[in-house]
Amino acid sequence: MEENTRRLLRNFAIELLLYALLLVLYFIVVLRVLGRPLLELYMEQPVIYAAAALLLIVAQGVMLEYLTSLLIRLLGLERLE
Amino acid sequence: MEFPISGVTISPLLLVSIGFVVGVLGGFFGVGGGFLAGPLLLWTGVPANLVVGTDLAHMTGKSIVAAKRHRTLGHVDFRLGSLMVIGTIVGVEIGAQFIEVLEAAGNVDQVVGTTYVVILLLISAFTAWESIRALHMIRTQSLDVEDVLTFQGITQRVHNIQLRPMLSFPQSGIQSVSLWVVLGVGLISGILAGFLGVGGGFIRMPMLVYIVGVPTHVAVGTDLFEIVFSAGFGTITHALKGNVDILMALVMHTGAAIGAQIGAISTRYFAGPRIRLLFSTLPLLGAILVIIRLLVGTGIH
Repeated sequence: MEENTRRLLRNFAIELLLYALLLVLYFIVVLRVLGRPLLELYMEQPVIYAAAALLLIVAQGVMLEYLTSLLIRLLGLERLE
Repeated sequence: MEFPISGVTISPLLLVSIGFVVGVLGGFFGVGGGFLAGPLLLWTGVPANLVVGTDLAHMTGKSIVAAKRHRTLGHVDFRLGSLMVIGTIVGVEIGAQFIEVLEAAGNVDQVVGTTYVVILLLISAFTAWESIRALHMIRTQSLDVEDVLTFQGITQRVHNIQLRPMLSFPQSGIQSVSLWVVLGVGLISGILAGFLGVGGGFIRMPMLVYIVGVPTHVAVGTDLFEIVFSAGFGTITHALKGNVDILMALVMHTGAAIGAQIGAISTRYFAGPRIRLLFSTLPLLGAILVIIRLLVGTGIH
């Protein structure tokens, strides 16, 4: 159990580190690239903004689920009992 | 950092942290966590109308994945869920319109904040009572027959309401229940979702189990199926009213996605009524944060 706990904590730390790196990339790409176009839609085309908002959050939900599941599988977290 | 859409200045790392905390707790306790995300956002000083819309958008991203998992497990009663969606959508729109009225009147923060405090205190009290009862049952190794019968009695009385059309839901083991009961459950939870920016699971789940008589595992899956629609529709209607900063929602959701996975894995190591008793302190914490915001007036960035 102690060995498992150590592995669990180590793998969590690795996962968080990888995730933090991806987050930095995400902030650079998404916030900078999407910021202005979304603001223009928000001000001028609220209907398209509403549809875009829904699509973006759904797409991110599916993508991040895939990414986090992949990280957990690669690090073997789901096999720990 | 200033988020250009809403003009709110808040650290993205703080948003990720809020998403992460809500995700871990949500994954651990099996709830959406909207009732915690809302108070935390209010506490940081985000205006209440933006809290409601942005929180709903972030919930949509989370619930769609969780609902997919439960569908795979066969825990979603699609017939029940699809009918309830009608009431839910009407309720969400009523809640969203109410936010508009309050915003125009200039007291949206006070009314939303006070409603949050009342509901969070009720959840905390109910969860504490339920877990203490479960701990008592474990200690005495006996079933609390009287209480079980009380809940069964409520379900039976609801099933006896002969308000046509009467419907059956075989997947949930329900032979006959009025359509209006199903729509009513959707409507009440929808109003709360549209008004507070939550998924509404904390009120829909007990109503499905104790009033409609749905088995708990099906109630969880069907509730998540509902949240996809209530939060999705809430995102659209609030976005049209200018209440959604999707960039803030996207940033929050990055923390929530990883937090939910960690929370779900953690349940393998900790479980039982003692954890539910611990959970009862979370809504209390949320209520304290909202009270601080209401008293101080401004938030912490």
